[in-house]
Amino acid sequence: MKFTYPVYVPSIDRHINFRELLNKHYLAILKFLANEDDINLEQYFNKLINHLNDDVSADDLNKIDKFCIMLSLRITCIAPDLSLELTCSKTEQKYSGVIDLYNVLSMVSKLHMTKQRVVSMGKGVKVHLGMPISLYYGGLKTAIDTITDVIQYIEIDNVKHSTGNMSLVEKNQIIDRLPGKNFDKLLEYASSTQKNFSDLVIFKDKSPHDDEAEFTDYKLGLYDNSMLEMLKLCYKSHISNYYNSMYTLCETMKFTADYIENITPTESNIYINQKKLEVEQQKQAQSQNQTGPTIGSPQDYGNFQGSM
Amino acid sequence: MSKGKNSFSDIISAIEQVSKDNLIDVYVPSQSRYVKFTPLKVSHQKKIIETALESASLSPVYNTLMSSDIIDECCQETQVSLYAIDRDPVMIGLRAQSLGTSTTVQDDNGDDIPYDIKAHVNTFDKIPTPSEIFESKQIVDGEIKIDLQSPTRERDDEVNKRTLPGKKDPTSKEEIKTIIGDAITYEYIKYIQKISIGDAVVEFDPKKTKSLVPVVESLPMSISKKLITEINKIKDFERKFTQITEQDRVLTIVTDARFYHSE
Repeated sequence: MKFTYPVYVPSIDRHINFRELLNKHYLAILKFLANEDDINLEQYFNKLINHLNDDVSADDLNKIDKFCIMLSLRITCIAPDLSLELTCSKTEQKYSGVIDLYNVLSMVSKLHMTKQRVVSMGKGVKVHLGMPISLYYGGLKTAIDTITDVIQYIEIDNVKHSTGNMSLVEKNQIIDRLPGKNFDKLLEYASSTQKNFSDLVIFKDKSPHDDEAEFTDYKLGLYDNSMLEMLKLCYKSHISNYYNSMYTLCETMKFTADYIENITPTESNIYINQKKLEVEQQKQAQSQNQTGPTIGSPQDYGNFQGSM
Repeated sequence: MSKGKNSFSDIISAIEQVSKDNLIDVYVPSQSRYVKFTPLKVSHQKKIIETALESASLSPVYNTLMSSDIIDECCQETQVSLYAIDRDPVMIGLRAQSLGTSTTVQDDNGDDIPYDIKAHVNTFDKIPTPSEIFESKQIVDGEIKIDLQSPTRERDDEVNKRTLPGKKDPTSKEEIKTIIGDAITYEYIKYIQKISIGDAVVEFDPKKTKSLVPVVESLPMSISKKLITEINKIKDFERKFTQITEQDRVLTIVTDARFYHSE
């Protein structure tokens, strides 16, 4: 039996036990990020959610649920803060910022969810609407096409057809063929779900190098890729850092690759930081005892944390 | 209720069957009868919304072209050839049967008012279609002879498409005057089949709209007035479908994006 921890799922208003995100999962995410493959990254997040819990399926979760779950995994298994390196638009000087991910998670988890609704499209066709489910909106012709993400089921002559496992492109091909009556009700529903997000500012940025600078609000939206982009930012790291760390753990600490793959990034960092401390202590001890040159030099352990 | 088949192709097949099983009868004035159409779909609604976002001065042209596209997709009798004046009555009929009959119309002041068009749509098949509306006519003024006819939908679309490229919203009174002037010229081109002056004949191919503009603009005022008179006869017939005459007011059905907002 593996270690689990509770993760709050907003749409069902309860906590579900999740297993940890391990290095092997993190490596896959890094590869999708390095490949700039948002389509497969989203699918991998869905599969990861299914793989790490036994109670809920990603097909039954909405976009906010998935965002909260992936953010929770990031907080618990990697680190609770997101460090950012920013550039002043006026002076081009660099400065740093930190986002408390617990705070973001709390804000998103508490958002009011619009209730599900059934809309008749005429000619025996009904659509069952709920909160949008896709993290990634790509391959769509127009912005209007994103609103089909609120469709959960299509009912034709009392027979329900699920669209949960379909891509947005497929959903749009289906919805385009439906009778047009009450299409504006779909738009109204989508608009009502968006209302709660209109003021969801997760980060305020103001350059310390420009006295006249105003605050820039970073917001999350419901019908765009901002949530996926936020998650990408949270998980982003140079893939070479991962391999450097793995090398360090294998070479200097004699861990097996299999063991490393099956611990969390947080645990890897604990080992690496411990090793760094040991090396530092040894260096200090050597410099006190010896006057000649040292033999060899400490490795660059790289960085596991999802920082920019 | 049961959870049915989930595959993409199964759902598409089921929806296509709904379309085939629910054909509607829409009155077509040029045919003097009802013609089979599929109801308006969500894809059409999306097109309508996208058209509404186009520039204000060009939206009537975009609306017209959009309506033609929708009619092409929905008309189930491919051998039927429609005229430009069929466009609005057909769209009104499609709207009424697909989305319901409660909509907005414009009053004499140009204000939108809510209105149920059901009774009006039911009068369409009672409006007599004069045969001369669709017959060729000839206007003679001295040596100039102009053959004109109510344009087919295809001809009307060809001219409309050629009015769009490079056009932007007007920023001055002069530009507005130019746009209005151009609109009148293009309207003439739609109706004119050919102009003969003695032995010289100019065929009015709609694909050569731009090159025909100087020809139309050089017509004498006397013949221009005769043209307007003939075109207005056709427009008067068209207005019987788009205008609702009540005791104290005349209401106009404007087939723009607001017209398709469902009840």
